[in-house]
Amino acid sequence: MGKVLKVVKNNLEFPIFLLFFLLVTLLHNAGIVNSYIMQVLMLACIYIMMAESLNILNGMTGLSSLGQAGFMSVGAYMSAMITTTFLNVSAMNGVAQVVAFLGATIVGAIVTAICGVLIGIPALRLRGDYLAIVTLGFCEVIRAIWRVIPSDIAGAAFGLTGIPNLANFFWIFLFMLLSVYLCRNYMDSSFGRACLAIRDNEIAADTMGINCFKYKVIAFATSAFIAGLAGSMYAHLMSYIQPDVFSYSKSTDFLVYLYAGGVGSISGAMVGAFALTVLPEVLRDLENWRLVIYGALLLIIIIFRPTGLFGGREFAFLKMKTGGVKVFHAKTPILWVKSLFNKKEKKEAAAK
Amino acid sequence: MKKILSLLLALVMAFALVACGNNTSNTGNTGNTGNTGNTGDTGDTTGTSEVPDSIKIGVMGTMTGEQALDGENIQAAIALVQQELEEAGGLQVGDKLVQVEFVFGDTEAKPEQAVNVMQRLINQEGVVAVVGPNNSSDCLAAFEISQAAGIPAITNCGTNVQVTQIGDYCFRSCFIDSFQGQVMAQYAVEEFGAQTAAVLYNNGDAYSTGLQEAFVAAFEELGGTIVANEAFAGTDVKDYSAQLTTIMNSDPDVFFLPNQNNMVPMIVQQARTMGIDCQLLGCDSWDYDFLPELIGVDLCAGTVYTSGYSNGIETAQDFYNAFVELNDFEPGFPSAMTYEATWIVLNAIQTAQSVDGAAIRDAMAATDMDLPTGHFTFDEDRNPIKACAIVEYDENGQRVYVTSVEPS
Repeated sequence: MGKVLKVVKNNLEFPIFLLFFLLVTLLHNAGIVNSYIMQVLMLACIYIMMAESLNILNGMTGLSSLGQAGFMSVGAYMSAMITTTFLNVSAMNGVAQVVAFLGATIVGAIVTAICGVLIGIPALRLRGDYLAIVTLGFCEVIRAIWRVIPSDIAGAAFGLTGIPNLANFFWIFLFMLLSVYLCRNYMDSSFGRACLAIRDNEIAADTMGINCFKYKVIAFATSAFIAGLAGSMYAHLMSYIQPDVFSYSKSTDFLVYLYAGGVGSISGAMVGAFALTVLPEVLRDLENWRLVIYGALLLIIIIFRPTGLFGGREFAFLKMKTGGVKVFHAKTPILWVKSLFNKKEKKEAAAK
Repeated sequence: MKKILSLLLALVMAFALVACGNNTSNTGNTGNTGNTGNTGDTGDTTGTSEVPDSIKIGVMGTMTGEQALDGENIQAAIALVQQELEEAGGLQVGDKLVQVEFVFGDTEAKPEQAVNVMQRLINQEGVVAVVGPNNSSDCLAAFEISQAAGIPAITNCGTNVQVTQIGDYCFRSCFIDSFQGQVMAQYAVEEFGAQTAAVLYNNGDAYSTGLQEAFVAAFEELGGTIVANEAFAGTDVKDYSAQLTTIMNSDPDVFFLPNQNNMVPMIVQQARTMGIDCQLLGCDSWDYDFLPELIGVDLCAGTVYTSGYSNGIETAQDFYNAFVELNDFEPGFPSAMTYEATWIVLNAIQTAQSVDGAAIRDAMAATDMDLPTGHFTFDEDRNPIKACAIVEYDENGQRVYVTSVEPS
């Protein structure tokens, strides 16, 4: 018991997560937090997973991917086909439903990881824009495949309806946390450091004996695995998926979340995805103006903070061990605002 | 590291325990949200005294995005309903006038947004009924929410058959895809004496495939032959020459084009310039003012399409005049259907004298009223029973109402 207490004392964030979850659940059951807010929260968690998955490729390994929605769709369709078409989970009892849902989620994520490996192999030859085109092509091919598969299996163009609504806030929140910690451990491990080396200078990394091919494929597989988990959560939250939901504009959304939050930073991906999912909903009262304001805010972020909101910093609770990672303190935003004004003063002084 | 791992595992177990308890309460919750939310305070009594002084009705549509034009039509139709209500001083329910507020929600033609909007309208705004969304995919996603919450929803343009199969709180004011395809096939055989037909459809679009299937089935049943049934994939396709060549070589009597209106101009232009000069048949998405100009007035002259609404219908003249006076443009199919859907809901509230979801639902199912397109009732699947209009583009690019076809 004493040991457990010590661990809890050193990792205060775990009880905080637990409390947060319990608080939200209690407030929801009490009717204070309504289903709409829950829906937005759950979507935000799913998009955090997607931004984390993209961060492994774009942020850590320096591989540009425009096909993240394609990976998500593989996870969504695989798990949804298992629970809906093959098993008819709706007819099962509670525990069997949860087991089937988790099984389908894992299978979906593994199949997605295999797709990731298949896409990762050409990554050996391609880089930059060319790789982006390959992933974009993958996304479109997958979408075309879902349309072709007969409607009694995957719903064809019409989409798959009647997916059991099994992804509640608990599972989505849990899988989101697991993904975040998977990314944290990935970045802190030898895999992550190899990926960082490849990102910073591939030739130098190769010369130092890092097997670039292997680490790129692993990065793709890990990224796809998380995207597959997110896809399964998405399918079982929305109860309806359709090929066009996973179009390349969705991949671009994830890219925007990541870059607004700060590419290369796990915390940045979290905050970016959360903020940009919640923001359009908060602005919904402004009707058509919300898209204008959303766009303007993005512009402001990118102009004044080209490195994203977090600029490579990480939340202290993630306890990153990788060298050179700066911690995000409560003071950081204040310092940043101050530095903005200092710059102006300096410029004015220089002009005089 | 091990410590953290073990703690994480312990937490997972603890979470799982909590979840087991939660799971059951959660599933119960989805069914209850409607009752604990807005309908709870109104109760399920049907007396007039229970109807509040003001009610909210949600209006969902594609105000922005690919189908923003439909959204404009929807807002214009709601503006007309609002004007009518203002003139009457409110909605007459029993012996009191109720103020009706319309809350708009933008779906952007994305199912995910539709779900968010539906959740918001029901849980945040507390609407008593929802009009829209106007897109079948959006309906399929969003109606799951309204069905679970026990809030009646009526789509204005969601023509896909599965939309109302979601549950008994899901209605529509337009006819279904299969009905439209069936009427078109019937009209092609009876009016043009067609023996052979070709179809070009978008296999990435539920609307397009639904119409195609119904047309092909009905046409073959009437003794015709489908000589070419060509598909293209998605809205990104801009060149249809491969499919059109096959169609031209098969030399059909009629050529059916069940596509969204952003694709129709390009397809018709390419077909006509290639030399396909047979009778072109369209569907209700063709019903737009600007379409002849986009296609080229001479190219689209003589084409006919099915429509749930035409400005030429005799019973629609009052609606048409009022709409043009208010909005300065002619109503199209989405605006007419929104107008009808809204009045079906308002009429049901008047009949039920209640804002309870179940009471409105029952009253809506029993709808029996005269609307711009004619007499309106629902069948047992909550699909409308009404005539389908056939409209033709004449040589000046004007829409001419030809006739109304009752399904046989």
